[in-house]
Amino acid sequence: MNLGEDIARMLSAYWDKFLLGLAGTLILSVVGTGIGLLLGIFLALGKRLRPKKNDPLYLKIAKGAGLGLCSAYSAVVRGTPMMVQALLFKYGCMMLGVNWNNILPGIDVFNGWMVAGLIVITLNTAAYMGEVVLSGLNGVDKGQSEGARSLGLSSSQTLWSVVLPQALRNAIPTIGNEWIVNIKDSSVLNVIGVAELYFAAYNAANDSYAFMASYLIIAVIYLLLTMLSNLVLKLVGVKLEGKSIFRFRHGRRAIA
Amino acid sequence: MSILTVSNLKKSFDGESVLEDVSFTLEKGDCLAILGNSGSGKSTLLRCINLLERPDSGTILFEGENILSHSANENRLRSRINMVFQSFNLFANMSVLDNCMLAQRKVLRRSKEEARRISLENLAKVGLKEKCDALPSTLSGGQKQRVAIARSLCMNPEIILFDEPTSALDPMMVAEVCNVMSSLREEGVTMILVTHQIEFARNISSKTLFLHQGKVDLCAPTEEAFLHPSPRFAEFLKVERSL
Ligand SMILES: Nc1ncnc2c1ncn2[C@@H]1O[C@H](COP(=O)(O)OP(=O)(O)OP(=O)(O)O)[C@@H](O)[C@H]1O
Ligand SMILES: [Mg+2]
Repeated sequence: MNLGEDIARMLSAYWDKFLLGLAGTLILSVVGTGIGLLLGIFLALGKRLRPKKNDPLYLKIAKGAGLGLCSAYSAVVRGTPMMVQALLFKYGCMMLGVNWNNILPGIDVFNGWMVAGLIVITLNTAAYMGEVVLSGLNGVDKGQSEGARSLGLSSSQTLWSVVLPQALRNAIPTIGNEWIVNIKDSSVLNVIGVAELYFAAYNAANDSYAFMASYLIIAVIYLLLTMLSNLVLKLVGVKLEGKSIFRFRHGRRAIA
Repeated sequence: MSILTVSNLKKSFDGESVLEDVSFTLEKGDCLAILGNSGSGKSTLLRCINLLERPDSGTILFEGENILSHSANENRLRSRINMVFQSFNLFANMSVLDNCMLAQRKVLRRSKEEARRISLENLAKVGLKEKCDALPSTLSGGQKQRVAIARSLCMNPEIILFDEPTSALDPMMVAEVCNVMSSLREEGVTMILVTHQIEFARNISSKTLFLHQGKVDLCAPTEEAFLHPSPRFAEFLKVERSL
């Protein structure tokens, strides 16, 4: 059989499935990256907690606990594969009597497993974003916060108005990279039945036995998607920076 | 009553003593020049007064209140004793106008309109009203420092601490910043000035304090200090002037 014919046949027979898979992948990467970033900010703040000499005892303990928890979370999540995390999440939930099958049942891609997948990818991304934000915060000149403190701004006002905006602004290329990594890595969530692009191809291939054609189709879709994302990020970068163009690393996580 | 009374201030970093028993007083409307060699503790002294550093011991009375006591409201005090830095420290993510408005809005809780009006007034005072929409990165060093001064003036501080405000500037721009400070002096703004510009310090200040290795070597009315310098101060002046 001819590969070109196969592809044409698959596209006409399963286009709706591929489209739904694409939607799933987009939702996972956008939501995972967005909420992951938000959580990552708090994780980074947690990792910056430092008990001080003059702090009262309860504050020292609270800061130490916060620092320990955030550091441990970050180390565990970044030290294990997302596929394993997804499986642990699935069977952990089952042990607790929560079956995602029964939550939001039946609405095709947008079923309970998609919600589970969103939770996993968000919690996973948060750990990486924590590192991204942390290095962004550390990269802001100390004079910026001293300038703010010297005028009477509190430390939290200084953080939210002066330091964090600059940290995030500098981290945009790395944040964008995390998004592109998520577009590709969300494919591992098929192990818990999340209906994303790979899952769609897998089902179509087993249905029709056109394995090569199915996976070629999604390879091209993934490639188009990441190229398009890169373009969007470059445009955002150009708009912010004037003329310099950001570069994005492909493949691996920027921070291990 | 003096506006600021510093007594027996001590500060060390990692066992290394930087300030030893520093005492002086500042009257309302005074301009105190703090002179001293590099590493003598001038910046550390200003940072203690602005509460960016905590002294190990001693007291700082500001209008009779010990600002080092734990009940003191640090942020409120910082808004009344501002600091202008050698490196400007303008907020890089905001326009000149927003730089001036931020602390007015957040600390003094002024309305947007009022904060804006006061910002523009003070920017006009330093001759930079037309730059209000510019980002700090597009300004020259002298302009940045004038914005930093305007930003501080917006808080109506009772004291402004200047830590080598002209040291990072090209000679061309030193004069524009010095002129702004001289006009503040004429308006009666109370200030403490750390500088290596001896002649400017002599012209602008009413009082001179010479720090030597963390100790007050001399503290006297400026004219007297320059006419009858202590041996160490005389030596310092000779070296600085020969540079
Ligand atoms: N945060 C710090 N940690 C450790 N040592 C410090 C710190 N800040 C200042 N020092 C030390 O304290 C001493 C006095 O420093 P300070 O900056 O107050 O001097 P200065 O008189 O302002 O000098 P300059 O004219 O060079 O600005 C120096 O020896 C410096 O190394
Ligand atoms: Mg200094």
